[in-house]
Amino acid sequence: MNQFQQVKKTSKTLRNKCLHCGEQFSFEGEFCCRGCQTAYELVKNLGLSKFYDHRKNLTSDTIKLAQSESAEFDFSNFISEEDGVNSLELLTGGVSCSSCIWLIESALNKQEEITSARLNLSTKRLKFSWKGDKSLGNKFAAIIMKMGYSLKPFDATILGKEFEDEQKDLLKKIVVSGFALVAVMMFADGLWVQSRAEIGAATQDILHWLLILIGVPAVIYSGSFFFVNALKGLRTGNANMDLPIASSLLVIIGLSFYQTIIGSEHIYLDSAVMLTFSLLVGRYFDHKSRYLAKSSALEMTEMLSGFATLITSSGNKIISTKELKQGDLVLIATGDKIPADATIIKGEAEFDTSMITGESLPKSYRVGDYVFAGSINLGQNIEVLIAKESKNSEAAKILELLEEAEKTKSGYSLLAEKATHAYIPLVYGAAAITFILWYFFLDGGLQNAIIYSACVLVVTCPCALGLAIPVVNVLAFSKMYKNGLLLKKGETLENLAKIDIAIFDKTGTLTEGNFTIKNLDEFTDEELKIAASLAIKSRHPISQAIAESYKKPLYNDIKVEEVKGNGLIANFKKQKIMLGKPIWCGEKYSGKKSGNILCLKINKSVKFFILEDRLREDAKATISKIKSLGINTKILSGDILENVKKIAKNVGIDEYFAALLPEQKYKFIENLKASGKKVLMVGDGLNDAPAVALADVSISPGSAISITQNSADIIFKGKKLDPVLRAILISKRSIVLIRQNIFLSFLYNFIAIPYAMFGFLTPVWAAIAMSLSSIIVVLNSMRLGR
Amino acid sequence: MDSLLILVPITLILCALCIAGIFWCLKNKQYDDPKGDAARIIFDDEDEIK
Repeated sequence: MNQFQQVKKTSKTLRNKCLHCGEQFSFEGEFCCRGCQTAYELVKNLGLSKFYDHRKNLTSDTIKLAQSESAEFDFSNFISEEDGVNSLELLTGGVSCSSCIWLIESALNKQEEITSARLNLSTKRLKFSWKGDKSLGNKFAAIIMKMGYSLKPFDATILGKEFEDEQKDLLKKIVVSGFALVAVMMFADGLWVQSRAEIGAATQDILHWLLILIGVPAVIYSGSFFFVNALKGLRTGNANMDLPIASSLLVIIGLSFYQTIIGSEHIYLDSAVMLTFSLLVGRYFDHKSRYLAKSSALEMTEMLSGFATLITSSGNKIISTKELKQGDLVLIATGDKIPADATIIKGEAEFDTSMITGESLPKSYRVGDYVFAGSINLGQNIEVLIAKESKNSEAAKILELLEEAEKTKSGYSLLAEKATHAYIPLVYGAAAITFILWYFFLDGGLQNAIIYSACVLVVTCPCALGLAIPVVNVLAFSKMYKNGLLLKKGETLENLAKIDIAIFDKTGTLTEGNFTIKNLDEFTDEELKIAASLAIKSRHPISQAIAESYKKPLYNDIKVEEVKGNGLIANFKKQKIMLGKPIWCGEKYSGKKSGNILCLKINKSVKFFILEDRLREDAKATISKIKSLGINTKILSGDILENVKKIAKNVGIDEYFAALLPEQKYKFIENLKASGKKVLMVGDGLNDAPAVALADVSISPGSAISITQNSADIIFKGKKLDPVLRAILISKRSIVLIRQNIFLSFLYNFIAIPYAMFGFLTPVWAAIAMSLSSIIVVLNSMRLGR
Repeated sequence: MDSLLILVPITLILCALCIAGIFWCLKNKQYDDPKGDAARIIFDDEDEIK
């Protein structure tokens, strides 16, 4: 098949695009729903219709709510209470590593009244609960603030600002240290190639002072980040990653002053500036990747807050869904989402519950039925009575489950933390031994002893080690991106390379998630035209599949009546036409049952549509390749056994489990993990979301609902399953490179440290060796390829 | 030696200018929304979005 045909094939499915929201739909008109039409008119009346011209250029519409900065310190309004337990969720500023989590959590847990305290590092949200008086909340918050962390009531808008400020601050510091590095290097270059005699003692001294003039303020300003964190750690008796960095910076600065004053040949300030700059760049990338995680959490909460039409005795009122209370009466128009779990009290409609249950077919609900938050009304307007506030609803529960899973996920950052804890005493130990050795035993004099031990500090600075992982991560990220994959967290690579079991969801993951008519060739052109003309009037997924199967002009003058949950009926050219469930049409399908059957009855002639969800075209080949990597494959699906069995057979997966609830999927993965297996979850529905969050690694197709996408580690685009295989291959290669990098940087340390300790290295050579080791690590990482 | 007297101040001034320039950009929120700005460049001059 040539390319042109392929393009044609994918682009022909939907015909109309909503003028307001841009959603594609397949019935007559310019708008997808009345709400969009009203909004469009409103925008037009305000004279802002240029919005529609610009919108196609925008990647996302950002809504900026009024930001109010809270100066006063009173969180009592944000306390939520459940069963006598008060809890407070706050945004924590100044949290930088896992020791901060430990610090904050243990500080809170020491308080008698506290029942639980948890801090999420990626979203920086701290949640703690306590028994007793509400006013205690402020007391606990004060404890955290005394430790040097800032606390803000949790609010999406403030969270965004806090993060932006930190990012901006980091950028400023990178810029300052970067330009200082350029200037310092320029002077240092000349100083290194000429001796004191050649350049002249006075000139050299002036240049040394110049170096100090530029370098010291730059290091102090840009490196303040490390100094502050190191101090914070020291004050609580916790040696963190920033401590050796801060102290080697200080030693180098002190030494530079000393050497300039006594007029010695060289000063080593350039290495301090270089160190600050390269470390800050690393921090920036770290910050940025956390930004991704944060914004996905924000999007998740966005789903919960929206607007709802409240019915009151004095007319309808539009309020935020956050304000909804139990017992409120709410109007749900066609196309609206149910804002909170509710009971229908007026009207009857079909609901798209795919976000909640993963079922692709709409369900019909009537008066007295309970509908879950997140379901979309496909039928007429109805009225519902709110049963649970949105904070307590099912969707909110799933979100909470996600956050829990996210917190317990990363073992990698913990490992890095442990490594530095082990590394810090080693660095200082080596430096101290060097000093003692030269001062007391080898008669090197005070100056030499200081220089040599400073050399050890510089040489042992874990710069190459610090680059070993991030550089590979960044390259892997860009390589994945070119293969249609979006990688959200660096540690995913490590986990993905180690997986033993790959679990697939069925609908929308192994399959394309759209119904297609399997037996199109059994119908005449006229029959298809009539069927499509009826089907286009309905928003039901099966109707839409039928409407989309016919590309030529339709009959526009048919008057169609939709019978909820059963089908469509019309009188056209003196024929009675029915399109719907076989039983409703009074017929019975006698063939082999596979997929969904729809009956088309024109007068007495009866024919059946067989509709099926199609497999991704390369699903079978990809699965067999994944299997050949020694990875066990399974299917976990919420669909009925019959359908799952068929798909499993087609793609060649032997183990499959059908009719699973979201909790069962979650439990299944939990058990696998408990038995020590590394699990990859590939899924797309809301019913997969908790499982996706819990799995060691998760991949979601770009068509997945946003909640699942947000909790997935990797998102892939396109109609093929091949990117999943690519992701595994790239991560395996990356891990090999990361291991080599770690080996190389340790090798360098093992060789360089003894040299430095025995005084064979001057700080220049120490700095050069350090940069060289970094360059080698970067070059090695490049072997990942573009 | 004389060249240093000219080149050193030039270096310092250039670096200071660059830093000031980037700080100015940051302060004017030019790094806040790179994606949005990338789209905004296509807009007609008449209606700048602020």
